[in-house]
Amino acid sequence: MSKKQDGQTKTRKTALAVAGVTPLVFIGNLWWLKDQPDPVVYALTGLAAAVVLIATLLAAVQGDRQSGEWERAGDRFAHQWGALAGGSFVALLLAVPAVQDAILSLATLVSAGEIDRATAMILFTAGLGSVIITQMIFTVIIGAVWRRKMGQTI
Amino acid sequence: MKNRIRVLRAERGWSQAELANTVGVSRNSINSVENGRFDPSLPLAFDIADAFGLRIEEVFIRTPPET
Repeated sequence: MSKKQDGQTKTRKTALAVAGVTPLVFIGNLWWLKDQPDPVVYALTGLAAAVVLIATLLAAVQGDRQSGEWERAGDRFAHQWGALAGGSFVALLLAVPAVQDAILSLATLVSAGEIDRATAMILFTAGLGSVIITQMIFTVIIGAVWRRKMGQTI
Repeated sequence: MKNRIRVLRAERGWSQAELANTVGVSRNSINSVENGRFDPSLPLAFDIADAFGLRIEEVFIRTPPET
C-alpha cells in the first residue's frame, strides 16, 4: 500500500469513527441537554448533525477514491438490488397485521387521541426513515454477499 | 473470457497480492479476474498484461459468446 493510500485509509477510518461516536456522545448527554434552553439544544443538535454529515461525506469520498472497478461493480450491484429488496420488504411488512397494530399503537402514543400536523409529520418521517434504513441494511447485506461470492477462490 | 493469470503468476512466483500491488488494485480484484468471475475493463487488462511484460492477447483469451 502506497503512502497516499495509507493516508486515505487513515482519514477514512478517522472520519467513520467520528461519524459513529458523535451520535453516541449526543445520546449519552441527552440527560444534560434536556435541561438546557432551546437555543442551546438546537445549536448543539445542529452541530452534531453537521459533524456527522461532514465526517460521513469525507469517509465516502475517501472510500470512493480507494475503490477500483471491482469494488465499484459490487457497489453498483448492491445498490441496485438493495434498494429494490429493502423497499419491497417494507411494503410486505406493512401487510402484516402485527406491524399495522404497532403503527397504530405508535400513532396513538404520540398523538394522544387526534392525529395533528406534528404527529402526521413524525409518522411520515418514521415511515420514510424505516424505508431508507431497510434499503441500507439490504444494500450492505447484498454487497457483502457479492464480495464473498466474487472473491471466492476456485 | 479466459485468462492465464494463475499460470503466469506461478511462473514468476508472484502472489495475488503482489500482482494487485503492481497493478494498483485490490487482491480481490485480481482473484475475481483470475477465476473468470469478473471481466476487467480494457485499461485494467492492459495493466495486468504490462505487469507480466506480455501482450494482452497472451494473457486473456476471448471465449465465443454462448448461443
